[in-house]
Amino acid sequence: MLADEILYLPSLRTSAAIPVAVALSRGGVIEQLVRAELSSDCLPTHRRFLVETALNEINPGPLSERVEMLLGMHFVYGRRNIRVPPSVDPMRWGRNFLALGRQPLAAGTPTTRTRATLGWGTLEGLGVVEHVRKRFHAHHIEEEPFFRGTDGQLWLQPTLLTGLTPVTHWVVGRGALLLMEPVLPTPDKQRIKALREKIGAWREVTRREGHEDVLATSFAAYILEGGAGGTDHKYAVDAMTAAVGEENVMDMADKTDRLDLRARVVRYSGQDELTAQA
Amino acid sequence: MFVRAQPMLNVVRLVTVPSAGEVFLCEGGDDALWFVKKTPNSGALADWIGLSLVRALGGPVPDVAVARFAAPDRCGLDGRIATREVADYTHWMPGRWDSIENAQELAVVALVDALLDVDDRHSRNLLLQPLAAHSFRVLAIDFDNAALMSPDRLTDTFRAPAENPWPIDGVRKDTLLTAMASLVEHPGLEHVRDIVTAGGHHWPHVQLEEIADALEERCERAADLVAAFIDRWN
Repeated sequence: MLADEILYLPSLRTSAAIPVAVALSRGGVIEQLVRAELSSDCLPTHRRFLVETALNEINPGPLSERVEMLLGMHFVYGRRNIRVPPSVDPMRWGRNFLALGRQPLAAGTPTTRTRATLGWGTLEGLGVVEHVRKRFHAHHIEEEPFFRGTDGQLWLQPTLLTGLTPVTHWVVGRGALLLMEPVLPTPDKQRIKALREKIGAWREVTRREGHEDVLATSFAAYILEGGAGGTDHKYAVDAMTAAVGEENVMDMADKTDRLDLRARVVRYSGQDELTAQA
Repeated sequence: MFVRAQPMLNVVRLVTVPSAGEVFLCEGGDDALWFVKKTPNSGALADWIGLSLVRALGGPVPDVAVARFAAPDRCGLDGRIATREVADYTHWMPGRWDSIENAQELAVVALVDALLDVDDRHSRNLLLQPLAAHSFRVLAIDFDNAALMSPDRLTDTFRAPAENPWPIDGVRKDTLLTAMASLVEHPGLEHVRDIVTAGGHHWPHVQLEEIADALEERCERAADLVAAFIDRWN
């Protein structure tokens, strides 16, 4: 049995995503839909109504269209084709998956950190690694399970719902935070899309409106050398531009952009450029 | 009736690059989100006419504008049609008719589809927006592939509707057809030339006069068109 994670995006502006269901399928046919329990503290009434009504459209039956084609841009697949272990109760597995935002890794599961490692190498080349920390987690900024949105409603922290993956590199100092994500252009658009959504979710979490105790946060996406070229490179740049704004996308093949990234790291670390050179 | 000249949208930022299709999500100078669709000039004009005509007849469509880019326009979207984001929307869902507050207004959309020869009305270009009290409002988008705009159709001003002219599951045909029949005398139909003219100058190389002539003639014969529509749909 395979599982597909279905996400709800309350705002198309940020791409912050809330998992609302897991579709359990066999042979391309959805057999069961495990729904997240969405309380009124999590989503306003009209949005819960929307989610519940929309999920009724896909349960059960053959999944002939993508979720976003069926329901619109507020609904997308997160991770797809996750294999449900045959020895477990699928419904229980689904509920656990929704609660944790991930499935437990089996012992010895290999991990690849090509992008993070390449990014670190780039930062070493710029001579700024002493200012940079690795893996920015949700608990660095927020312990509370709720925050008050600009609509005045209490919202459950997306981090708790999605198991938001850490930002790869970060710099903190002078009361400001710089979150940096290395990007390796690839023909696999899903990877780039996932990165864009991750940054969008982080932007939502670090919003300061109505939440002034959150550290002022900036984002930078730096495009690594050695990735795919042509339209794949352009897709990556466009996606990151959409996520963080054109001024925050830096191409490491470009000397000016490399200097820009270096200057930002130094500035956010609390030192000025002259101090760093000294 | 006054037909407003086409409003302009100053796009300041691309928000989402589509993974499939040609619809881009953009942030406007008004801080709102807008969908901008990459279409040829004829498609942009058709979208402008369709959306404006539905609005003139009191039907449900989002705000519409022409996108102008302050930021670098790397995706070729300058001059394309923008529609304001419908917050929290989902696509049309069969079985929701009773919970749609303005379901009868779909008759306007069906009529304009018939006038423009739009033959791809489907669940993805009818949007449902949740309201407070467990109900929806429906809005229509996407008139850009109106067949009327094709040069070879312009001379054929009365074309019988397709066998299944409005293939949307879950609509109440009798209610819609009654409402359509009551629209054929709507004064908004007399101003279709103004609508074409108000937007048409944005897109060169389209046969504005011919399109206005053909559409005006179709509007004059709206009663015949609706009768044929009813005949085919029943």
